[in-house]
Amino acid sequence: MMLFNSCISIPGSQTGSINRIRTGIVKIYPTSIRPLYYIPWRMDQNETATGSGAIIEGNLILTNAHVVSDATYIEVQKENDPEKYRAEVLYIGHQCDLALLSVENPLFFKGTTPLLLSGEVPELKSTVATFGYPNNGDRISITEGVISRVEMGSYVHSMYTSLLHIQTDAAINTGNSGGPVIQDGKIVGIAFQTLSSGENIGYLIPVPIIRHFLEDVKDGQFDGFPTLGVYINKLENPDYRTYLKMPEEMSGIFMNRVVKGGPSENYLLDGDVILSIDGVNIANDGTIAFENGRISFSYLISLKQVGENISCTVWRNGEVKTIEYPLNSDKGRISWYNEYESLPRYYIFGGIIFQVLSREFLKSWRDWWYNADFLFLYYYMYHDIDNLYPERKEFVIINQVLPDPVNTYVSDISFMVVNTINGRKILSLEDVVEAFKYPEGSYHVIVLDSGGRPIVLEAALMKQANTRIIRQFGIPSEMRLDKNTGYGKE
Amino acid sequence: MKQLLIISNVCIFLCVINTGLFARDYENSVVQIRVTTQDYDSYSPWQRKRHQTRWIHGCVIDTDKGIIVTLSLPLENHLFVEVSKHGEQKRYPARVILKDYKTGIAFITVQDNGFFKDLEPARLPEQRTEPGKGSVVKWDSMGRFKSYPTENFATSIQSYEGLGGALIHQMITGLDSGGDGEPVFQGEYLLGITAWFDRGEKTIKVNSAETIKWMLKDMDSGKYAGQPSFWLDVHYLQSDENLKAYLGMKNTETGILVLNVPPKVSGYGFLKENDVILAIDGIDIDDNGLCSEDLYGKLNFMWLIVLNHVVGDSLSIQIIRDKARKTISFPLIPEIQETILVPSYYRDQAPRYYISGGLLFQELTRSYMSNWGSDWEEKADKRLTYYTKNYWIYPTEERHRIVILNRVLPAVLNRGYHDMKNHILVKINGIKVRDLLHVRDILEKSTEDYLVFEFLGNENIVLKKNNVITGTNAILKQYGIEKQYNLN
Repeated sequence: MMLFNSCISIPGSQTGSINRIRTGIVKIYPTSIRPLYYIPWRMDQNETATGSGAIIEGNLILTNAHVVSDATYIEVQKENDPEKYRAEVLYIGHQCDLALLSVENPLFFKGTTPLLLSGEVPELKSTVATFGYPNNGDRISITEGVISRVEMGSYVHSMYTSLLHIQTDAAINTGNSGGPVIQDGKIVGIAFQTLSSGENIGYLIPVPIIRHFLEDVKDGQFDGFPTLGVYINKLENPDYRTYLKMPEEMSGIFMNRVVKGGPSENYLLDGDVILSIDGVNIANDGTIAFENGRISFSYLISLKQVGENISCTVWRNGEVKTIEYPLNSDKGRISWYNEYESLPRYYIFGGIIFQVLSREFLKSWRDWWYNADFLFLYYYMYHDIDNLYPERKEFVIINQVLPDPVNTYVSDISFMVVNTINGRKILSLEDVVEAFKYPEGSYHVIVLDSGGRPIVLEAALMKQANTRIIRQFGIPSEMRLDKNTGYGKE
Repeated sequence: MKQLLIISNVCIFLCVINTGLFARDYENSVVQIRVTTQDYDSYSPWQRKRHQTRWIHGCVIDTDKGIIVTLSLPLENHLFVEVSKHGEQKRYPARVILKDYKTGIAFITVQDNGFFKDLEPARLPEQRTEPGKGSVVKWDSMGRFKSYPTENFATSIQSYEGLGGALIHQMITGLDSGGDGEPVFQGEYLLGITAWFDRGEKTIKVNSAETIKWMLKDMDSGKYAGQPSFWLDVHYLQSDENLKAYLGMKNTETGILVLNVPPKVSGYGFLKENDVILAIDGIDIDDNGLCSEDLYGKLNFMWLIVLNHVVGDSLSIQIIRDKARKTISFPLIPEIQETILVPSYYRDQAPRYYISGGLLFQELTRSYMSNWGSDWEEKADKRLTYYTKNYWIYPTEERHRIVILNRVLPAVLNRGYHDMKNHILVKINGIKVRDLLHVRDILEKSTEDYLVFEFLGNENIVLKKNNVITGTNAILKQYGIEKQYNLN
């Protein structure tokens, strides 16, 4: 132990404080299970992994969401205690890749010291140390590095793209996930991802994001990060600014389109120029001053809680106006982000498997971004930007057809987007269930987005066929319309 | 092993004898063609790529008129063509008479009067010929004439450009390389020229003499009109009893379902969505879109158009419309480019482009998509892929072509927009853009102080018109671009 301590110099820490920090680090053993989206009634095999976590005030363990996502069973262990303790997810925030765990047995917290959050974002080139249990080791590993960059970036667990993260060269390996990154004896971040194409480039979730998460869940639920709900253009070109009649000293970003149903809908207008948010000026390239540099203005939005007010100063019709309104979260019609703790929704009728288009479904393809159906990819990528079928709440697709005599000549159909069934517009999966109650004469007629022939099924045969197909293919239920049907809970 | 080899050689020899003629009888008809091509650069459309040279084969079919038949695709973007005969080194400059990418066939000629004197035209069969055993012949690199046995196993209508069709014989062969226009003879007649060679399967596809004869006939009429347009989006009913009953068909009836009739093709305004085509010219079409031909058996229904008709003919079609049986007739019209929103390829044409203030505008084509490589369907922008593959999105009065911003050629006047690329242009100063020609018209006629380019996906570019007028030439010079546009 002496040798260990003498070899490591924790930035801004004394040897005693290192031992104190170590009592706040835990190893996490999660077991998880995920559904198969292309066979929506089936689950994949369960997996067991390890991760790290930090004990914080209130007898809670802070870790990454990806360590405990889809978990069916979790155990935690301290370095100096052979006992493993059962833990449960109290709150999980996939957007920011953070989770809070609780441990029922109070003995677990005996002899531990909760770690405190730093009040600051660490300075560039300042030294930090990563604590955790990488590579399934049983002893705590401490690696040292410097803060090399602070910027808005992607959180790959959810694919949320615009939250603050910090880059470091402190070694972060598998199993480090969820472990605290320490400076001056306090948590300055949670290690969460690495850049596989770079050399020793790791990332941590900084304190402002951690605090946002902890504040968010105080009301008993995780609401996530709000969005502004607008499409913007930068105004770096001076011609664009003079066209908008902006005075020379004025800077901002042009609001090309306010998203319908988004938080800004009734407050901002297409063509407004956003000059500042909460009094912070926005430059023509969409950045704001931050520390000693600049970052995207979206940082200001990420600091807000869902429901919290924003003060937006805009240039509208030659006048400066300030508008205050509450922010809300993004409710996309196609799930843009990775999904966890949810099951695929589906409905099987006449052997046709109806589902909804989502990132999770697209991930059924190997290298899906290159190989998935081109129509699906276009809808996924551009449905909002190109305002496709704005009346649709979601995009209902045909995954595949389970062959049966009633669908012999349509069983080759797969990966299509449904337009109408029996003349009714299909705006959601629930609409599919409803539409099949009203056949067109003797037939059910399904029309697809991509043209092609209508799919025609003989209505009188369907009741028997539905029962037969479900039984034959060993499917527990012909439908699941609620994705939040819990699993993994005792 | 040695004995076996000898036996197999005898077999091949016998095959050649069975065709009735020796290889040397074809020597005076078969020529080699040296083609030099230079493709256009669809990424930087003001320039061309590095030139390429390749050898293909052809067959003399008329010495009086001086016609040599060969493949059209290798002649795409040709700079010049030379022909050599008798396996000799001497090359004679040649001229392309006709290239038809829908049939896959081209006719070329040699202007030197003496060239055809010691050549003999291959005979085209007077009647449709049942393909059987024959010989594929070629000159090898040493100037030796070679003959390889070949035997037909299937005949079908196959499409080159997606919109037309050619009668193709598929044959097994002893050929070791080729598929580049080598003539195939059956007895004294030319059966066709090779258009494809599968080294692994040892098979060739032979573009038939039927297609060559059809083209000669069309050319003899004075003006070559090419195959009539008859591009329908159809569904083969494949005995789908539910669908057939829903459409009002009897159990005994067969046919194909019309899903869409693109504008400006034969049948537009006559055929309608959800019509079922039962027969063409009185010949029944089955549920797989096939109909019987006396000699070749079942062929895709397109043979009734591409082998039996020319532009201007009237086509008679029996249909079911709204559950009632009808016969309709309409004239067959030539194909025009405007049928398709995103054309397959601009063959033998420089890509159209227009540069304004360093903004490089082009029209979306498959050639443009190939900038992402041969696997563009995986790698290219998903929106452009959607428009390119979605052939059922037709041109409209408002939009003839999709105009895209290829990229911005960075300069001071367009700073702030340098990263913009592959955006679909929707409007300029509030006017919806029809095509690239329209872009020039709008820009030249605009009287506003600013040019506002609106792109799909909520992206704008705004530039002062004066800055664009005064700055464009400097940008062209800076990037070594001779012409501001090509709109031909």
